[in-house]
Amino acid sequence: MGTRLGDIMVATTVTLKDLAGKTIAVDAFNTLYQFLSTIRQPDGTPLMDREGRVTSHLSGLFYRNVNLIEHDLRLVYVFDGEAPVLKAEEVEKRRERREAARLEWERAKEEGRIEDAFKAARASSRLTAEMIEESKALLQALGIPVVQAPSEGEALAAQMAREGIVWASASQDNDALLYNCPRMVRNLSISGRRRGRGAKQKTVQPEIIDLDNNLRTLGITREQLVDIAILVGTDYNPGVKGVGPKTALKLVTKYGCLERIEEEKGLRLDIPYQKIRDIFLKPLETELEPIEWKRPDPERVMEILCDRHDFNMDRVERALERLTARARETDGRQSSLTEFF
Amino acid sequence: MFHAALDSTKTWKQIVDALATMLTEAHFMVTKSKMALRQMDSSKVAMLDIELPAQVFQEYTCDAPDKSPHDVCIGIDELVRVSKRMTSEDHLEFSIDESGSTFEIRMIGNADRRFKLQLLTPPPSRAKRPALKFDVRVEMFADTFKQAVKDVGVLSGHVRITANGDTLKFSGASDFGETEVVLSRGGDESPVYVLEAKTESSAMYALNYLVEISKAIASDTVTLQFSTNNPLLLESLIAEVGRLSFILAPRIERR
Repeated sequence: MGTRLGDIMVATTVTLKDLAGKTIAVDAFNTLYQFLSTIRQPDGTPLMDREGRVTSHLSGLFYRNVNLIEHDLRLVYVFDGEAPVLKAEEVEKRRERREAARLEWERAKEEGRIEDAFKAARASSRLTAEMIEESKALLQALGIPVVQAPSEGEALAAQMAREGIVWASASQDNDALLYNCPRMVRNLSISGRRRGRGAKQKTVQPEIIDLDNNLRTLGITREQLVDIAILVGTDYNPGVKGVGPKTALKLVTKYGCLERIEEEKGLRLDIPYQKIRDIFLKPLETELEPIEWKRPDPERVMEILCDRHDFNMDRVERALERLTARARETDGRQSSLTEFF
Repeated sequence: MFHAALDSTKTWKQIVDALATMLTEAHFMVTKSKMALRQMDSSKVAMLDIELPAQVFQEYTCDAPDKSPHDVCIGIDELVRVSKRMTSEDHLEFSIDESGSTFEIRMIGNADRRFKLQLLTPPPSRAKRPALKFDVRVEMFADTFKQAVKDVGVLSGHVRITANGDTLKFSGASDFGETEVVLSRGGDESPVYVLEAKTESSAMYALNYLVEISKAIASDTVTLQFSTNNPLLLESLIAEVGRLSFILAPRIERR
């Protein structure tokens, strides 16, 4: 999902500590899908309550946010609204892929192919309207503000970062940069997790990608970055066959823009690229209400997690205690005199 | 090179108490006209700025011009322990010998007792005072201020000070409850002698610092100055002509 630009973008690795005190707009759908795909048993079965309802996303949201709040990060979750019309094809494709993955998961499980089952199960992750509503309720109970975007969440998160309402936006895909987000954080929801096996095992750390620095290093404008993305393939168009990020960068650097690539190189682009450019370059601006962080409401959290979804009460209570202790401390940040010289 | 005599052990105790609230080393700058100290605590949240003009002392001689003071750096723990040996009848004398390696505190009473403290290497730079502008200026009875700080401290770890032209309010809250102390300006009865506010202002400060420093205030009157979300300047006198300034960075509400 999103656009594969990782190969040409430079990121700075940081630690959660470096992000203390920062406000960050989180791409909610992106994060929820991550929890749904990763919080599973070895055979791919997600966490479920007594009635068989999936709870992986709630578990992820709860424990991860407690951890991030303890590290003094201030998050705002931005939820997607209606998808742009151009995305319909991609949305349909994803639906088909999920359905196929679900069937493959069943098969692999029956045949005892555990690793295949896990992979297929991850790809079959579905986010339902009910899950979205519950996620919002849980976040609000945790005192974390939730913002509803008119269309793509990443576009709104980028706007918030641009206006200085937040310090950065957080997502795993790079579309925020196409939406002119000055700074984005990757790996926020999976930092600390271990990746790889044996000697290759590494702990995932957050990464910061600075848009202007990258554009300067690549020697391109943001408009050109969007053209590169269109060549590689976005949520709104399949890419050009055989063109990855590096080739796309070369083409755009050489010819300047998609029009000239068509004219001078004679590459036929059967893509409504002007419309796609508009999605990234002229997103709907939203009037924003001031964002407010509240104190967590432990009773409400217990109700959602334990009463409704059979979470272990002791574990939830322990995490909540950490959270309320933290809330008491953060009634204002102690400033330093050095800020006033 | 430096010699001073002080009749009042009370004054010296007050100075040492103030230093001990937030420093681990006291770095005095001594010149022919005064003994001064200006330091931030290690977390850079608070600054102590003390000026003891020669007039505070009954005898005072120092050869250093005001532009190039002698650095006198002493460990606070030792200074506190030595100063505890004072009795109220003692008369004090301070001196630095020609070699400039020790600070001598002499307590003259029934006996003549001398304590020589090893001088420490002074820090490479002297702290500057932040340039602050204040919207609010309050002069009030010191005991009323101390009481307000203690009252709010019963239920809270920080105090919000709010002022307009008529009232001065100290408030605080926690999960356990909240406290509010309201003082009005003017009238012969009011403990607030002066209350000037250019605009209604409000700022929050950590109480532990204020509780500690208010223990070291010995004068009858304190002056408070602050602006919204900016540092607080607390001033009081030491032995009529000396000055103790305490500057505290605010707690700032997050966005």
